[in-house]
Amino acid sequence: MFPAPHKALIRPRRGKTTVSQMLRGCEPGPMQTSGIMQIIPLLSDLEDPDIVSPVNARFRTEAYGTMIFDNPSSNIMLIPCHAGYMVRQPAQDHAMSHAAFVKRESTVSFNDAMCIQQTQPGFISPGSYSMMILPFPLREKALQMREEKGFGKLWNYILEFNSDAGIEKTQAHLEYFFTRFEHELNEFAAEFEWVPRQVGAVILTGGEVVGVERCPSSEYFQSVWEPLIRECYGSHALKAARKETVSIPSSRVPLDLDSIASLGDLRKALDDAAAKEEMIARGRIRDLIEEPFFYEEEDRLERYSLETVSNSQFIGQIVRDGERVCYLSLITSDEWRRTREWEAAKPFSI
Amino acid sequence: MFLSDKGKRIVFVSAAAADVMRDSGYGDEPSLCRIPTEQGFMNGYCISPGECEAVCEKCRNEGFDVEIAPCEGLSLRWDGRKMGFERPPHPLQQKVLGHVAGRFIESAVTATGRATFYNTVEEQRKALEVIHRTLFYLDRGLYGLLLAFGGVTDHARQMGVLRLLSFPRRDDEPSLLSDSQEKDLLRWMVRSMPPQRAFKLFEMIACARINNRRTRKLMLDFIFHSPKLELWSVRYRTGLRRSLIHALGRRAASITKDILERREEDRTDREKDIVAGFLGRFSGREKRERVYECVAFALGAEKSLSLPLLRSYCASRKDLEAGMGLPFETLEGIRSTFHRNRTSAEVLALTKRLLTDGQKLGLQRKAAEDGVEIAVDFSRYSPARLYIYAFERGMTEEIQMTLHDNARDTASSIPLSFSRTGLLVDCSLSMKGHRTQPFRPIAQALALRDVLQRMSEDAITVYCGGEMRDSLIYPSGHTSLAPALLDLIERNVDNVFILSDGYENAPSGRLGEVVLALRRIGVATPICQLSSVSASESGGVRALAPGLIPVMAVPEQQSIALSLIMTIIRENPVKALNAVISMLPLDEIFRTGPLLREGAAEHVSSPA
Repeated sequence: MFPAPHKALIRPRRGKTTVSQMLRGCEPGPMQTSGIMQIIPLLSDLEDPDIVSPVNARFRTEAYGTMIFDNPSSNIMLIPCHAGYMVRQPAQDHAMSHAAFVKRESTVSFNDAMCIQQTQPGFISPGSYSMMILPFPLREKALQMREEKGFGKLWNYILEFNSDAGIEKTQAHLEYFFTRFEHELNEFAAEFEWVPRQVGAVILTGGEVVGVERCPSSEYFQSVWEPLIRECYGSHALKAARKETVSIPSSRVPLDLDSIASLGDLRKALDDAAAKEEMIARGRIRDLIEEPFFYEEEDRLERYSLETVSNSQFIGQIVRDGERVCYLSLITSDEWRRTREWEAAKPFSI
Repeated sequence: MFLSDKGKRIVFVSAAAADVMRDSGYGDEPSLCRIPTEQGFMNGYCISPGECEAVCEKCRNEGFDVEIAPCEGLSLRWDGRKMGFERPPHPLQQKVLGHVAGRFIESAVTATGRATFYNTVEEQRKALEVIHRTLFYLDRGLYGLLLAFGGVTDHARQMGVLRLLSFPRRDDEPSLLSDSQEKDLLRWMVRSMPPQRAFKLFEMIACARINNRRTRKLMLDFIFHSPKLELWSVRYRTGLRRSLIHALGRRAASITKDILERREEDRTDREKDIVAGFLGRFSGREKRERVYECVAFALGAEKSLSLPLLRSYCASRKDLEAGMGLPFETLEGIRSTFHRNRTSAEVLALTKRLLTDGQKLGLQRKAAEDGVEIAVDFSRYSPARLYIYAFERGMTEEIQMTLHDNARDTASSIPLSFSRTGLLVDCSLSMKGHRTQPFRPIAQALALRDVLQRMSEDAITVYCGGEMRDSLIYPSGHTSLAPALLDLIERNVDNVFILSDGYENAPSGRLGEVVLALRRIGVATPICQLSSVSASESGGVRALAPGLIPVMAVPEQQSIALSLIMTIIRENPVKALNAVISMLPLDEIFRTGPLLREGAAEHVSSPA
């Protein structure tokens, strides 16, 4: 078993990039809408089959804050950013604070992982478990603390997250949220469907982009589809919908029923609405593509490098094979969202 | 009494009062039913008598309409063929009956107890429990009769039998059926299940610790009077043992095993009486000996066996070839434990003549891999099963012909026809179903499409999503049904059937908008959604456009007649329920005589 490489051994590569570079080779698919959440599929024929998902890998924990992955395949395993496991065992649930590589046919342990149940003792026994990805509001915090030691580093934020969702418990257990909203999240996740050639997605809530995801292959993306839609972005959309902080997005164009007097009008209205939605979807992506990002290399395995990227709006991680981006997971930062709220607020007037 | 479970009252409150009800603690439980009234939709809730007044007062103070269903019973009567009301019912009672029975039939014909693409097993179970409980408390006899309907799944029937056995009949309990009729019905339902489902039911009974006299009789009758008891003894030995131990009691089972392990001539008269007391008396020595040997074998005795299958079972542990007459999975289990150096292909070759129809289809892939040829008669399988097979193994001309013939026969057996029908088939990814039962929803939709096409003089079929490969449309992509619906309407169809699981996302609600627009411009073409997927969150099937187009559950193409009945159940429940009852094999159910004619009839002893 190999420990994860020490950061000091890597000579970090730094530089600038843009979303247009990171999404090279992708095209947007038809937008899917349900309630306040929308998804613009990213379609591509560019695939990197040498990277596989940990969805069927064996996983276990042996100490608090240590996650161990077993990669039996002859491919490189990429653990997606903020992957976690919530198990039905008397054992502490864990989540990663960053993305990570697992070498071909190897076992790697990560000792900078986070416990996500404050008072649960026990370790997860070896096995294949269904993976989750941390809820969107926790991901930025987790990424910022990726180099900190201490398995309880996320507890304060989990408490805040639960309390924000109306769960008034004094212990930081992430499963409280998922148990309380299990039904709503299932229903919510059910509304969206993976489409052929889909390797990624731009996720919007209330018409604003909150995340951009891209995976090495459509198969990889399919494997993380449910954790992304249900636990990560679904939990955010659910909380936003409950608090009514965002309304039905403007990018969901309703039919103008009053202007329809014949079947021809209805057809035209339908086509117009679809065209408008597509235009809005493309516009949302266009707004992002030239924003510069700073990147810093964190890890390297064979020809692949794992980098943390950020700008004023987004923070996240990417995996590159030279210049070619195989994996991307970006989320909007808290600060940017607060600024947007301020900018969107009406100016004072009497 | 027209009451729900535990004496709760049924109260109808405006749908807009959902927040008030949630504040009062009634938000998490799904409401009993949702009925349209002149003031808009009203939700029915089951409220305990102590809280009833306070909750009603709170709603009234907030300005919401409240109606309390009367306490008097429904007074359903039954003349052996038809049901009706003894006296004119309160309109609310009639509506409740229609909605509750409608929702029950919808769920009972679709529920499989398995996870769907969207819902976990636990969610499914909870949703079903509420639906079953509600109808059971309205009228347990009607509940039982509806469970006997042909399209009801074995899972729903298991839940129903368990419920009927769990709650002994009370004198004041409303029921269409008499005590003996209910017993006949229970026996018929258990006998109509495949044996593995019946043993699963018995396991559920044991887990629920139900061992009243009626239950024990039902179980022992089912076991002892089966002509396949010998086969069951080797094939379902564990299930049979558990059932016997539960029905006889642990002590009685142990004594029975000890006595039956010895030859008949070595048993004393006293021992023979004890065994007869536990197992009952049988007509004919041969039958008695067969049952005794199977019981002893199931309970663990393996000495002095005479029945060929039981001997094969024991002999095959030393010599695999000796197990030639055993079922495939039984011999395969023995091979994996006692003959690890032998291959599964050898077992398949030894048992191929004895495979069941289901196994022949299921083992085709394995047979091809192992080079074993197994002949399959495709005409013996349901169309949905054949479609699933075709999705997994590829479509062949033979399967296509069988599907064609099957659809033609089913269509000709339904006394309905359409002139120019539009069929909109949802082939989006969610129609692939859950990984535990891949392709089930799309297979059922395609089987239904075939029948509807043949019931129509002219059928126009359009598909939403999906990828066409080898004459089959594989589910993929998002769900955008609205443009396809408009295509059909523009082609002047007389009616439209939408075959969909009810999930739309490009964008959600667009189909409803289009239907609304169509109605506003005067297009009155009937549109109906047919769904084969049970969704727990909607307590039945999920509607694409709630309130705008009716949605009906159609788990199999044979259930289409039922679906058409379902269109009237909410408005005219008695007429619809009588139509359902007329389709039941009543003569077969109630002509089975007393519950136990022999065997465990008179001497079922109490379990230790």
